[in-house]
Amino acid sequence: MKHIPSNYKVLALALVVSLSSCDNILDPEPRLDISSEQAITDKRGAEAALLGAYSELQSNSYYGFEYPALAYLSADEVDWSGSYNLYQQFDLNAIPAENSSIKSVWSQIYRVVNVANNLIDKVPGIQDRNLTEAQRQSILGQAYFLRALSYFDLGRAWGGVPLVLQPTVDKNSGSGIKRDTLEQTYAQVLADLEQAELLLPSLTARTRASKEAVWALKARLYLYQQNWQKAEEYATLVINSGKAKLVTPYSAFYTGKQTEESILELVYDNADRNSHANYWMTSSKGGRYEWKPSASITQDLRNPAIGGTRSALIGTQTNNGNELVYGQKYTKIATGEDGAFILRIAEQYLIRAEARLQQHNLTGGLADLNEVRKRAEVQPLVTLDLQAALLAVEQERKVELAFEGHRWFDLIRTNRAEVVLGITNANKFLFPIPNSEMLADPDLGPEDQNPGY
Amino acid sequence: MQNNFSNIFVRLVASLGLVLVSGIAAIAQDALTKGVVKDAKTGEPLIGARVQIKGSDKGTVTGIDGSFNLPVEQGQTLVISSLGYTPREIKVAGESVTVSLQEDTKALNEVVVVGYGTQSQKAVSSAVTSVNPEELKGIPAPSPDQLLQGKASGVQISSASGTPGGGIFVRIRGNTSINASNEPLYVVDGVFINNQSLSGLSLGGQTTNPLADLNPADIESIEILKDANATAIYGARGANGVVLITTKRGKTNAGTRINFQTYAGIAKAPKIYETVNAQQEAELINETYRNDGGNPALVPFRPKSEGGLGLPSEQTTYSRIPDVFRTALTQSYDLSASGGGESNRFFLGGGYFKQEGIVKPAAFERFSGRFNYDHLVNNRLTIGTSTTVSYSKRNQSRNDDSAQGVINSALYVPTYLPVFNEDGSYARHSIFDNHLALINNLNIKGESSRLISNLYGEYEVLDGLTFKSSWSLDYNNYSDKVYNNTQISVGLPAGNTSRVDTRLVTLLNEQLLTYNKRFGNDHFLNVLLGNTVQQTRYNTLSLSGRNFPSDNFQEIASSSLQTGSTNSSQNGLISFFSRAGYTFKDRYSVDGSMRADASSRFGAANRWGVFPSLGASWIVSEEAFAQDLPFDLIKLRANIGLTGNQNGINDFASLGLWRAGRNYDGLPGISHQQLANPDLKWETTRQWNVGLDLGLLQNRLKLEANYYNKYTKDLLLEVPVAAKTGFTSVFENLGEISNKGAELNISSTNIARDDFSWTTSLNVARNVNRIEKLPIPINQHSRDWIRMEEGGSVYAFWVYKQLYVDPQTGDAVYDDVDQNGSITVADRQIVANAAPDFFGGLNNQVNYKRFDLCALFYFESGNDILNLNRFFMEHGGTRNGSITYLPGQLDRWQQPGDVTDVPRMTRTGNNYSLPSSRYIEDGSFLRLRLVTLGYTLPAEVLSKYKVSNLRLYVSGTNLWTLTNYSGLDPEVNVAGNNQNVRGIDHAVVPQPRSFQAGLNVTF
Repeated sequence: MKHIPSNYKVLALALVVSLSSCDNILDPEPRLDISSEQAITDKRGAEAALLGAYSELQSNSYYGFEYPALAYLSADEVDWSGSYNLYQQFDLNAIPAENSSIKSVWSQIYRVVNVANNLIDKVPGIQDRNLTEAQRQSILGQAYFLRALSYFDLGRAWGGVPLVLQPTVDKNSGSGIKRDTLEQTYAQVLADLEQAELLLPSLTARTRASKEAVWALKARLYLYQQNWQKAEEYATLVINSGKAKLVTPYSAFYTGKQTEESILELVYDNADRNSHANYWMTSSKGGRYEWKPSASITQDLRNPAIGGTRSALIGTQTNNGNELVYGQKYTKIATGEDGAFILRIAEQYLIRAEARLQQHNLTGGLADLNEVRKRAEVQPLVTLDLQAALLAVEQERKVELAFEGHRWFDLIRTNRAEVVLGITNANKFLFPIPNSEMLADPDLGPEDQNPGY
Repeated sequence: MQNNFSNIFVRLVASLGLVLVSGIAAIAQDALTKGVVKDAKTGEPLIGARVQIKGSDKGTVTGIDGSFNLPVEQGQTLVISSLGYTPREIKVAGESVTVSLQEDTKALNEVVVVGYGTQSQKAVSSAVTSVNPEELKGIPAPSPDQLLQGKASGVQISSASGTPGGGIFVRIRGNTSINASNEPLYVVDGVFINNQSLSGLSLGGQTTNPLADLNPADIESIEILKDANATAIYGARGANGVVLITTKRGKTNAGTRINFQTYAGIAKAPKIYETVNAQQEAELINETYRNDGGNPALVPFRPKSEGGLGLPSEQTTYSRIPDVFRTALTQSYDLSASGGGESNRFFLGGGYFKQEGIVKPAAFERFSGRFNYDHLVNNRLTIGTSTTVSYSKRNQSRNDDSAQGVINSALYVPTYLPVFNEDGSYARHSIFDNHLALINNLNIKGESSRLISNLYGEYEVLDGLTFKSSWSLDYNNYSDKVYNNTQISVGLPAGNTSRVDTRLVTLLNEQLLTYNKRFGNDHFLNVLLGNTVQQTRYNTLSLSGRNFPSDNFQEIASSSLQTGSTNSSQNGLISFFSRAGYTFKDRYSVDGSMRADASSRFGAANRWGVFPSLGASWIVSEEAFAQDLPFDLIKLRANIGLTGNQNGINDFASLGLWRAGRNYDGLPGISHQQLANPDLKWETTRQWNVGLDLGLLQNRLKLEANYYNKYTKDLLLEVPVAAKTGFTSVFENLGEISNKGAELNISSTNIARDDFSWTTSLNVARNVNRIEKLPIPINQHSRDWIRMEEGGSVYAFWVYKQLYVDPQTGDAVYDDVDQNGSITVADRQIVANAAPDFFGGLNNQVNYKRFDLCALFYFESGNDILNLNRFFMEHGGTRNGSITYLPGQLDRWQQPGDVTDVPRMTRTGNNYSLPSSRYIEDGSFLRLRLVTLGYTLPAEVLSKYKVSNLRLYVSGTNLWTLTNYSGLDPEVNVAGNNQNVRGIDHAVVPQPRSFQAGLNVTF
């Protein structure tokens, strides 16, 4: 039995060696993730998080499809023709608070807010020799811009919302933050835009926020706030910057990518797909044909005196002897490369046209309006009636910005939704706060729900 | 803390190692008397029988093959005893002895397989159900779990659909969790196996069943451990019950037996869908138009000369549904050899199984092999393996909640629309594919490669003290391959393909020290001590390609846009466990177990969980005072224990994480992924069980009753957080669920003659589930059809309750719960539940001369079904032109005075837009699950051909179903991929009715 001890030693050694891997068994490291603490600590981390913020912005629950879709479904641009009745509820302007799109869009916008909050909180403190001051400012400026855009989109769709401005660290973060008013929300948007304007350089890539993008969003914000003078001022800054131009033909800006038309356009590719086309295309083109251009917009776009070359937005195909009409702004179903046109120059002309008309500058207003009409090969409008000119701007926005999610908000901000859309219940002009959020957020009492839901 | 445990662990394993080494050193010994102990009736070797030299304390215990070696002098007397057998004394003459023990018929004598060993039935205080799959051979099921339906009390088993190899719902005593798993733990020959579907495809909510990798023909027995005393030894994974699968092994000194089994069968849907015809559909569409204020002169179906689609009477009905159903074939072949010599035994088997689905083009095919081998190195050391390999192929298709589904494409399309275009090409309408294009072009393949292997060495250190060390592997590789050409909508515009390879590998090392000793006649002690170290790694590799030059190309390499991705994760578990049992006078038993688990899934603060249990049983009928009672057996059982659950949550659920891959413009991005919860820990289930076993009339009538009470706290819950934080949920230990229930098992030997026997067994179970604590309600499935809320139960349907249809207006009137005059979300309520009130099985087995007949019924009572087919297809006009109607729509209100529950046709209002109680039906059913008639040929005929046994049989499944449910089949579930969804029917492949003929021959 003398050999036992030596055997034992060998075996015990082997066991101890094999057990040294025990810590690995109980403490495996995640491979796809890093801890929150590691996330934004150096230049590369900050840049990655900024790209992450754009990635959240381009999500299908936000600009990749759903946010513009909820707006154009709610207006009179499209008719629901599919099977998802969660979208039909927008078409009928009868949205229950438990509608799942309402929930996903709301949550997604706040995802952008949180990434932006993290950047705004952490980037100023990053100690990294490789991070130049210009880069730091650019990252911060873009973060402020993205937060401003997010709160603007929340505000115009839901009214005032909870303004979370600090990064979330645990589940108690954000507690105590209640709904603010729309005025406060827009004030925050403006404050962030002011910061971004100081920090951001001039436009070099249309896929990223720039000083011109800040001006363009400011122009839109002031338009919504009916601050005509400021709206005109910032639209003028954008137009005069020369960084963006109306491209011809009209269809060039959406058939191409990041054309000169765009001030800020989100880019999509095969790996990061824009799913808009899936909902617009007919089944023979691989889509769901979930909705189609409404009869009224089809008529307008096909009318040479109204739509001009924008008739390109309407596609047709024959199915068993019937004509199917479908929209052609988002068609790249194979590659998923359709863009999200967040800010483009035609809108700036129309903002300035409206702002000038509101300031009784008929000539200037018509000049801007006719710039847009000229590009679409529609005859210039000649009128001496200010009200007629304003209605012409409304009509022009309908066809020029079709399917980009403007008209719903336009008709509400101009108090025209009741007349044009026939919605008599003004409560319907705001989306409901998602029912899930009412349940999950202790800072939201029943009284915080938008009226009528 | 952790270091401390690591040290203990090192010491324990090292000392176990010492035991092993000293054992090996003890191999060299003097020549011995060899012997074998067998069961007198069956001739099977008896394991663990005690062999003692009379008048001394020298003795040993028989090994796995029933053999023992003991230095005995000629003329000495051996006392041989074994639990459940009458002890025998034998005088030694010669070098070897063979002893046969008679069963002790007075008592329960079976040995029950339990966690990490066996226990005498006598001493068992737990609720354990054993099923012999041989009895269920007539069921043409690819996986063993399906065979258990109706056979195991308290175990609810139902197929999600009739798709072969598809997901199976298995619940032992109810749901204990919401976000962690509710599936039992499966252990095959000591290997913890994966039973989570590895397929990465989204096929309308369908899943694959990984247990279909196992060949039911290889299985010797299946034990289901139900209560805490039985499962606490599995600690953190025991809360949902444990299914122990033991595969077939050879017999020593038995020669070689060759067995061949085969069967072939056909299957059909007992019933297929019916819709309205084209004329009726056109009338309904016109009616919608008129009801909604349209100009009656301009209804859509008016003469073509007036610009319409033609009069309703001019419409042609295009039939689609019969095209996608078929008579499906099943074939199964199993060839095995088993046997053994003096020092070894083996089982070698190979099988082939192929089953077509009754809805085209689904099919399942499996090749499997098994090698079980035990070798006795010497009288104390045994080494061996249990190994199975299998390769399964699935031909899959979308169904259920998928607009691209096969059934959907045939069922939904308006019946007046043609199948082909005028040019002969496939016509596609609305969002649905052409059904013929689908079944001819679908190309979705799943391939599973599986290796489950266990290697062990077992050494008898001292009399009654055995040390066993084993190393196990569960290697599961699943490959999804999808190719969509341009004939089907998902392949438009230029074709796409994807491939996902998923690999899940579990490695397990286990040490077991067991001690069984009988002291005198009255005391029996068994002790078990063990530890395991387990690691599981998960990897996926996915590739996809889009845009092909033509439909002739299929490989990713042929496409112009290619993307790739990977994923990986891992978890580990280190455990120590022990069980001890003591039986006094073979009638009083106490036992208890304890397991400590450390899991990598939890934060360091809550890494260790301890799960104890304690049980006792008393065989009252052994007492003197009970001798005059008319019972052969009276046994009382009671136990209580804690078990845990950590399955089903992600491997890093406790960490705060940011994820990469959130890219933009081709550049790498990161964004927040998950909120940290360092306090995350196990779910803990406390369960107690009381049971009564009775035997009457010479044990011809047996009754087993159990009452249990389970209470689960610290639920691993994905708790919603305010989305304003950028997150929508966090994993927390919040919420409590209880399950209380009773199980009754009655078996009766009605006739027991040599040439005629008839046995009946009935099992019934009831489980009452209650969500005791839940911070906020959680909704499930699209449109939130299912809601879990405090005070409610799982699988509750949350809807707007339709009270009636107003006979004057034809509008649906919903219950205005808050009486505020308008129907809002506040008026939604729980009205029904998909869980049954009772379920169970009734089995009859008749043997008459050489014939055998088996009839198995299965029933569920009180379960409700949400018929989503009706929701989509009794749409009242809201989906006119894109979806046709079920005939139920014809009962709609048409004019004042009509009394019906189907509202008037209209596209507006909430008659048809709300999730309404109108679509919920009673899904109770009683089904003749299986009938088998067999005939065994006489031995005298067979012996001429050297055949020892030949049985021929025919069987039928699902021949008859009694139900009021209006859909195709009440055994249905649309979303097998979501454990919190049950009882929703939506274009699901129904359970087939099948007929088989088979033979089983042994040489």
